[in-house]
Amino acid sequence: MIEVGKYSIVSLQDAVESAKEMLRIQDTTEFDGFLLRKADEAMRHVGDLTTYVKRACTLSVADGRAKLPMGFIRLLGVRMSDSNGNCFDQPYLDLAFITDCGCDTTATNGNSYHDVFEVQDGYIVFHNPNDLSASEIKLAYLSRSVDDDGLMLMSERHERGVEAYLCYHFTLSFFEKFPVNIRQEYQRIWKNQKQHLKGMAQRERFEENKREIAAVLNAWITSDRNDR
Amino acid sequence: MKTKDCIELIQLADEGGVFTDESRYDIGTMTAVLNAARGFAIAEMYNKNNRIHPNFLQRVYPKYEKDLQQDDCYVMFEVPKTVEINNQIDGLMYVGTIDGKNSYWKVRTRMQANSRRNHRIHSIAMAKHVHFLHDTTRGYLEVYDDKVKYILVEGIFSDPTTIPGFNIEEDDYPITMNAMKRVEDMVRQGTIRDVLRVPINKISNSAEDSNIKRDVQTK
Repeated sequence: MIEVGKYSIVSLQDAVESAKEMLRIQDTTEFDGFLLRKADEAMRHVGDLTTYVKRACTLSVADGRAKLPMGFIRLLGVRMSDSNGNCFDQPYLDLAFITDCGCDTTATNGNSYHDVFEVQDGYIVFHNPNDLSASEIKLAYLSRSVDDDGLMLMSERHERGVEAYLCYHFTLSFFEKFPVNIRQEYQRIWKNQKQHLKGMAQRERFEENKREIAAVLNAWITSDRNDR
Repeated sequence: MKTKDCIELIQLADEGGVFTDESRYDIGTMTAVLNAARGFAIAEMYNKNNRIHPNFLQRVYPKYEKDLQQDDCYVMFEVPKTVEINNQIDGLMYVGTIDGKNSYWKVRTRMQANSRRNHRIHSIAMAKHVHFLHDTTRGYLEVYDDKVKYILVEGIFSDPTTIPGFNIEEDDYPITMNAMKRVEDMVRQGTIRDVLRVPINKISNSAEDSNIKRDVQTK
């Protein structure tokens, strides 16, 4: 089953415009910045499974450092290559992982690791840049679903929830202009939408997993029968 | 409805519908009364229904003047004074590209602009969208993009008759009939009349009555 809007990415600005229309503040752009910030916050707050993605990219290395992409959460793997595209067989491992047991073996010669890196302040930093012959690295990583500027991406189906969040926070900010029941209504819609979105993402993930498990089991059962 | 017609309506309202040859008003003062009452009526109407009727809007194409510029970071344009509707709407209804398709984002004060630069998302927004500041005290628009040279401004201006291109004899005064009715009511009730009214000349002697020295009764 394909849910409406699951594969359709829209800008946060869509939710901002919807909220402005609801709040009847379309005659000004003064609050666009505020609403955009809140829309990004709402998407991070929803935090359903669709807001996380696996991505790959190529980064340039300069002075032993490479700037990590927007939305980076966790490294999944690295491949290194020179400017001609030749790959190196160099497993780079995270310093935090190597030293996690309490034994610092990074300075020891003869281990199977050529070098180590760590992630600091949005950069991947290599400890021995002089030994690094690669000019670029190919990175696979777990990321938040963000655009090039680092703003959260949202699906069509998130729009209603984000709009309610924006209206709720705007009415909260301008509490003197809006009755309490209006504020509570927006809050109620936001809560319900958030639960709905999280539940829907969980169900979809379950369906996907179920299909994969069924495929593996089918293959196993079929092959088992063929062996008889 | 021309500006002159609007002023006549106010005069009629002021005099209870009796308009004589002896009734003479200063045109400048009456225009000021009309403008003030119009602004008042618009604000009142907006607070009731959150809408601005298109009749109130006027367009201005501010000229880029090199001598006016003070900083490399923003471009300054001179704009007429606007009517402040409430604490959210300052009378500027569109500031943006000249084709009217891309409005710039407004910052209320310099303090707000500085404060926003401290936040990640606002910084992104400020880099992606052109922002502007309306310096109402000096009558300038500061557009935070040094490449912008031509802009379109649509707004509710406090003195519509002085907007470049407005012909006071030919053009309709930017007001709706509803608002005009409200202006008449305000004049009739004395809401604004007493403050801005000029005494009617009763003596036909080619001089303002207010300049004639009155007899002072002394003991």
